[in-house]
Amino acid sequence: MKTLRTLYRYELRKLLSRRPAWIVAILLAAITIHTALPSHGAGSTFSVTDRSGQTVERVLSGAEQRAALAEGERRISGQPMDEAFFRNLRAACAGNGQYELREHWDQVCWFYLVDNSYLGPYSLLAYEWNLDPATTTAEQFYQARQETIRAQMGPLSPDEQSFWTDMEAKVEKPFVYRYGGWYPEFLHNVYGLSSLLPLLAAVCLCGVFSDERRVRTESLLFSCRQSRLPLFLAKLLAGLTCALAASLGILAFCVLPLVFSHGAEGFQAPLQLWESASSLPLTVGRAVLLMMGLLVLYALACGALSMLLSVATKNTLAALLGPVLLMILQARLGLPGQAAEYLPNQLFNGTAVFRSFQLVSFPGTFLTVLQVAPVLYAVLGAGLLALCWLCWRRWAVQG
Amino acid sequence: MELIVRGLTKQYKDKTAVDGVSLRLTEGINGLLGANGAGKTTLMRMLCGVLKPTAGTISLDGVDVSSEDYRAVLGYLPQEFGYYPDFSGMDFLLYLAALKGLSRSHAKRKAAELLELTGLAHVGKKKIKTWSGGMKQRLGIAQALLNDPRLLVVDEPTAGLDPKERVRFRNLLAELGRDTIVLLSTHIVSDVEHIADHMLMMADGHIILDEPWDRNRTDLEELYLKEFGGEEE
Repeated sequence: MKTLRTLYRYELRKLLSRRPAWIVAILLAAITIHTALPSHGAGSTFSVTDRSGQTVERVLSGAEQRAALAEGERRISGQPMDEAFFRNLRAACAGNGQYELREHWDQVCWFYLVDNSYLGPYSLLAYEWNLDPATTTAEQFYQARQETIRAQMGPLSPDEQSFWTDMEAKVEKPFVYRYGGWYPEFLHNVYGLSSLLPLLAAVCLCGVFSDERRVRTESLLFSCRQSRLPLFLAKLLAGLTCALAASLGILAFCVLPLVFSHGAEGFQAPLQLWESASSLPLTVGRAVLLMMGLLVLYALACGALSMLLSVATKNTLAALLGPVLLMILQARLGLPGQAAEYLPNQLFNGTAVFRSFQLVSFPGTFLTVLQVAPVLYAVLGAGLLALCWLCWRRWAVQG
Repeated sequence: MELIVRGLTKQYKDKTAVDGVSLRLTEGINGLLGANGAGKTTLMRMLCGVLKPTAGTISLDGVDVSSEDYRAVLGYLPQEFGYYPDFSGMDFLLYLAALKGLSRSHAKRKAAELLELTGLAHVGKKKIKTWSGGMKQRLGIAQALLNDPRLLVVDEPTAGLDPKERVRFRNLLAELGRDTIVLLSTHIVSDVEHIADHMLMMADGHIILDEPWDRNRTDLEELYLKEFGGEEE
């Protein structure tokens, strides 16, 4: 055990002394922070005229618009989305009787300039649900959602439909409105990250085994007593530690700017506020944790792939290019049917994964994509690591 | 203590690098002379368990080359000595000591002792990439001695050493040879002629000379030139 600890420390040191890995990690961190930070794009001019003909006009910057949205959302956060809630929203869309708001843009201006309380729900209904906030009642709102869900469940078997009906029954209604403006941005960032992770894993781990050939230490290592299993385990653990640290680090860079700009609120919001057609009884907080966990597992699987290529090819460049090629291929090539849902480009597209009604039959029950995917990636990673061991055992010193 | 090699063969696709070599080596300096490409390095790699033979067996006091016990008493300095440029000399030795199964405290003591012995103590904490070629070679020698080997295999160990260091290294080997089987491969006659107790010569994968050696003999160069022409450097 002590030997393993010592070897692990030195293997980690070897990996951490790779300058290209640091350069790529810093670059990715910078890109992540840049993407995660709210843009300070050009402002817009808002103007609204009341019934007495008095006009208010103001230019609001991107930051001011976000602040207005957040302020309004916080004001009504915690209110149940019942008929009273929708009545207030309809009244707001009518300028509370003091303004004549004919167009959609008039309503938007009114929210920004006069009363921003219902700006969040207004945006949600208009842009996420494609409903008219000025006329929608609570009943219409929940009915529209049920119709979408029913349409999606159409092609499913009766057993599968019954499974989703049970799940839907667990979704608490009426929804409780909570501030969670950061959630869509989080999903967007995670999606971007998932496409960059294979590159990061490859750069960090491409040399974990193959560097022994590059620096001509293989003869020396294999003449030593602990060169097979203990050294292999030390290399593996060091590689997985790097993959884990890289994914957690990049996730932190992705989440922290959002927390700074939006605050850490809205974790209790029902997922359905943003994923309207989802029947998963999840809060936004749990959905976010699931996504983060999946991303970490994906990073570990990418790390395992990089290590496998490193030990199988004994060539650092090949181990670097392999995952990058795979990254390009998985974005370009589609897999048929259900399998496609487990590809990273689908899995980390939050909208798709949370709205997916695909089920995998498991003795006595069904499993959702979100339940199968972690197992799938963990098994895939473990399989790749087992192959690493086979290659390491058969490693022959260059003649 | 004896190293027994029987019918050792290494066949590559189109070449037999080592062809049915049988040997019996005991304590002392065993010189292995041969021109480049004679099969010395392949033979040594098989003796160290880093290359699998196509046929034949190797055992040290009855312990097979593939076992951990064999490697526990083996010291090896490969011809191409690789290192980790960002490690210090001390770290490199501690890393290899862990691989050889030494406890941390023993490894620290032994590493410091060997750095001293090889004249590297003053640069022990500096990164190896800043060292001269001769210093790196001496580090290679130090690592081979970490586990107090009973079988020491050194492949072209004097490459990169200056004349003074060569003499120092020869004396060190001669001392080790008292209770260790030392197999010293070289193509430089002067490296072995005055310290060897046993002489082996290899050509085209075969052992062509295998006999006890009198250190006072002066005809080794003549013998070598007869077998290999003008190939000595």
